[in-house]
Amino acid sequence: MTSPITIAVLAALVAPLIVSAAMAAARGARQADTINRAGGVVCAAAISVLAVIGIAHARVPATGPWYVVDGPAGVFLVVIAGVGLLSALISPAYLHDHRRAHTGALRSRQLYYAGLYVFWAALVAVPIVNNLGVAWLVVEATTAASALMVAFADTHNALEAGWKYLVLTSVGLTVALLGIVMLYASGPHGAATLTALDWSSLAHAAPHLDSATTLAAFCVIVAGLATKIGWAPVHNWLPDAHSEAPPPVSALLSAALLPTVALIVWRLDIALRAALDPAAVRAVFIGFGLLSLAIAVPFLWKALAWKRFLAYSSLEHMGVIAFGIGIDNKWATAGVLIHVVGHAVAKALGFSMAIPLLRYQPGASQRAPQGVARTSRHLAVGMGVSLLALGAVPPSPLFFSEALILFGGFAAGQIVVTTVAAGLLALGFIGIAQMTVGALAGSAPDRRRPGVRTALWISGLASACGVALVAVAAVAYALPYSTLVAMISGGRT
Amino acid sequence: MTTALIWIIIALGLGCVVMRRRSVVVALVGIQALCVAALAVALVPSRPSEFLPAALTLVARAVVVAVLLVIAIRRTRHSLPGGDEVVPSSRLVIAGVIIAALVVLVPSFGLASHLAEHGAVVLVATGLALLVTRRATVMQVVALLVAENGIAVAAVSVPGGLPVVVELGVAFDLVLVVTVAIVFHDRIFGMFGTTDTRMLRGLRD
Repeated sequence: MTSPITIAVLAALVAPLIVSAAMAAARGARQADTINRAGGVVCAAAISVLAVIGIAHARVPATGPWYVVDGPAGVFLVVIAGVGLLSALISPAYLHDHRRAHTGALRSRQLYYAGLYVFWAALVAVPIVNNLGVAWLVVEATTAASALMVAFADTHNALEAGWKYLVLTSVGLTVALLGIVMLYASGPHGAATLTALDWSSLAHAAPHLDSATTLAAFCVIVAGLATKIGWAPVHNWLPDAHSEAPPPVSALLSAALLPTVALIVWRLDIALRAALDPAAVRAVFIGFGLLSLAIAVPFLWKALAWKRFLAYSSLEHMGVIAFGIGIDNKWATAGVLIHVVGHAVAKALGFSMAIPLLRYQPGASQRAPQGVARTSRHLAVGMGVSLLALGAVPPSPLFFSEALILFGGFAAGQIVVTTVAAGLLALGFIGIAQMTVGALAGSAPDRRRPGVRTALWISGLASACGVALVAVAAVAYALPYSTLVAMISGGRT
Repeated sequence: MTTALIWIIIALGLGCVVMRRRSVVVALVGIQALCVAALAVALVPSRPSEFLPAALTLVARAVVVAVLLVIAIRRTRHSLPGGDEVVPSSRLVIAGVIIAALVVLVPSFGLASHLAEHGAVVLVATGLALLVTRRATVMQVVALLVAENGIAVAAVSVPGGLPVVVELGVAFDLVLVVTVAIVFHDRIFGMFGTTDTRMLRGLRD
């Protein structure tokens, strides 16, 4: 008999696919939007149920033949449910403003929503698959599902961004696949069984693996997946794809996809701990982290277009997550979990604000926004909440997450690299502060004001995200001592 | 026989680096994929029964991907990158450097055949070299395929092979990615009138 958890897993995976298929039945653009709104709520509810199951099973993970629903999966599913729902709900506003030249309103929506929901379904699978090989397959599936979405606008720049994203991440994933074959080949040989690549089987086999070969395989896998996570120096697709994709897709890419793929690397690190030299693993993650921070900071100082600025902010925050994984103690682990959720809320809000921003300041697609407070106070509040949260201004959860990660770094005796990371984060903050002042204050190039309905949804979204950010920050106090963190960090203090 | 096949597969990869015409390169990578499938089929008698579906998957993958690429180049016949593409001898040198670097960096990972290990790494390196030296969109897809063929060589050389689910999934994902890439190839040709990726350099900071 199928267990209730298996039913919940299947519901979370199949619901977005059903909505995607249902789009074919839409008879008009408004009907497609209605199916999207209703479908988005149903999908988010199904994924949230699974997230709750995961968090409730923090101590003893719920496992099935091919899935694992545990604490980390629960945290990432919360992010995927929330960001996915937000992306679905703001999509009609984007589609209203951006009609494609060669397709009608209905066809355009059918293509867009079908792609969005397939992408969402693939994302749900990533944190819950119980197997490295299958995890690779679903990560590759997210590339196929999302590349055409990146190029949805059908402009020169969108095509360029989509092509770069497709080719670079596919090559990265090919490299990661080589690492998986290396890891599989270095293990005990027998009949080819899929279970050999289960997280638990890898952990069980790790003490018997050759440490040099395992480390080489681990490095190849991490280097390959780093292209998908957007860690420097293999991040080249990230600013282009995030800036050219429709804002709801950018939100899913930045807030959900990048950290979720990082979870695969994190799970691999945990599974292979017994075979890997901890100092080497730490060096790999801290190296990616510091390099990502160092490359992001100069771009945060530049007056960039809004979505491009948010893309470089994603690079910075993925760097923070890599650094935290590298530090690997209870403080840093708690910091990474808070950072994933806080970054998701702040970044999803930021990309959502791109829709009204580009409506009232069309030039902001090519240059830095200006004087938004004069255009719309509601929009300025929304952008301000996003920027202040991303800049880690208290009570932003990113303030607490970065503080925890840095404290963890000092507690782990990593004084030099932690000091460097703190310095880079301070420089990044200055860049974000400059953007905040420049974008919100000053004179506006256009004086088109939003209507009452637009102002209402901007205010509602900004308020909801503000409350969510404070709620996430409140969790920071207790999280380092939680079962969830203890399970991930394996008792490390 | 397997040794000869691996050498042929490597030679076909290097042929993709040297040859200019897209149709020739597509033919070479198609033959290469079929050789990888033949390598797997040749190993079937000495493997558990689960290996047979994996070998047949590689055959199907080779045929489907070759058909997709032929369709792609037939739809964009007159699109060849300009004359300032990296010349074949330079491409070969660049490939040689990348191959040497990867062969030195990647340690032995437990395959019974060292040739298969090195062959896999050489082909992944050849794919990377193709990616940085060739500019037509189809050539960049070929780069991906050469690297994937290299990994397939390693996968079939693992005693027992990779789990059939992974083999099937990898083949399905590859076909999916190639299909999406060909959609891009068509749209890039429609918008720019060429499939030269040098046209895709508008996004800068």
